[in-house]
Amino acid sequence: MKMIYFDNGATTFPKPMSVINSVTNAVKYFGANPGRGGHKLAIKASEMVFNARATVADFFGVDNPEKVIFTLNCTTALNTVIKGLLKPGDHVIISSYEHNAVVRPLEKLKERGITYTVADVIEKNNDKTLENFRNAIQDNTKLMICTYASNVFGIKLPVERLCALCHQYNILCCVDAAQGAGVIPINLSNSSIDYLCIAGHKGLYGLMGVGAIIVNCDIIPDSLIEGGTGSNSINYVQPEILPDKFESGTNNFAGIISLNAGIKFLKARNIVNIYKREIELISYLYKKLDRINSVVLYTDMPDADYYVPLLSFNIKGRDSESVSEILSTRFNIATRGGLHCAPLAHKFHNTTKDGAVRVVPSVFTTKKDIDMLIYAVRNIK
Amino acid sequence: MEKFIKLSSTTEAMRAKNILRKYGIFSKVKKTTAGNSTSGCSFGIVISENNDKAIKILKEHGITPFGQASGDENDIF
Repeated sequence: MKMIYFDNGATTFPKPMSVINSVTNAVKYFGANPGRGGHKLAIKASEMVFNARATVADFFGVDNPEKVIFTLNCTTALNTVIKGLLKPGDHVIISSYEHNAVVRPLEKLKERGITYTVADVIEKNNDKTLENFRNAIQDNTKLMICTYASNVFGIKLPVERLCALCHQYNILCCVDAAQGAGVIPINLSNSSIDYLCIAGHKGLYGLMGVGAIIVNCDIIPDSLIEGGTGSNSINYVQPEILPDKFESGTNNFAGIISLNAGIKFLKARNIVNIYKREIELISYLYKKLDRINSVVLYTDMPDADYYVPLLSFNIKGRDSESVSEILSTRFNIATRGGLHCAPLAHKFHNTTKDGAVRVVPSVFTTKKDIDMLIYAVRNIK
Repeated sequence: MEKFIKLSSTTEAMRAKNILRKYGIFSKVKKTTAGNSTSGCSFGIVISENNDKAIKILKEHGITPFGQASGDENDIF
């Protein structure tokens, strides 16, 4: 039985053939260390990394590729922004849908006298959400962090309005776009987002092990780690120039090349068309699951205005991990059960006890795949 | 005669090359062979014409060269 993969929220699979080929070629023919040596292969590798940087910059509407900082993943990107900006006495506002990639660094920073407030997101009521964030602002609020969309419930946040609100109070804005990048068009050229953190291996279809911070303001955080950058190497002190300040040590060359190919794949297929199609698939799934008595759904029916293509559900009286396991073992369907590293979101929806089964389509998902899932859910007793 | 324009990083050198190409000025990214005693590893671009124009264009795009050299870069600093 062919496996049907719906765990695209964790990482997209399969990867496009163009991505696979780009990695094979990069490793086979151009595998020198970029930005270090001066020989032809090293210069060629540097050029390939730069081209990837330029592709990311262009995709997110940034004029200068130096503002694209490659990281190991979105978590490292978020940690870099959070720990590089905040000082003892600072206050942070986060949303009720934040991932542990945001919550855990902030919990750690409590040891240094940094505090945070959780502002509740109200589904399909952006005005109320904005009011909750406004009420959370304090005199010492330095940073607002919010996810572009919940990785558990697919609910989109009014990111631009939140960032515009924060700028009125001189509060910096960092957006966790792990679930948004590559799924929703994000253009920073006319955006109030100051730091956009992305994962390369989810909606952008690159390999695991690559992410990025895209800096969209003049305030540059302190570096999280220091080391060799291939530049100004006689100096013991970390260079201040971007992206070198944040890219100590050898980058994930293959991952970066794959990200370039992944974005080109998306551009060729048109991200808006992909989004529309995936929302249609998820809405179809919602309607069908809503008719099954044993199924619990946690949101209104997803639409393009308020949701990304993601649906979480459960079966009454069951733990989500057991449902996910049955789907895998009996029907060869890959979903993600549990808490999705986002206990804050589950607490907000009262789903901490049983978690939820998450379904995320990709560009390769078909209506037949969705029908198979519906059939499987109907047959779980 | 070829001129070497020293820049702050390999990324900046790649960006400079791309910017100049849009103005019809072709260049090559190269690692310095001189000046290591003062700055260590560093990169720049080699151009064979329109040196002054290239510098002006780069400055207009926020790229400030550290220095220039002719030929084998031995007189870079």
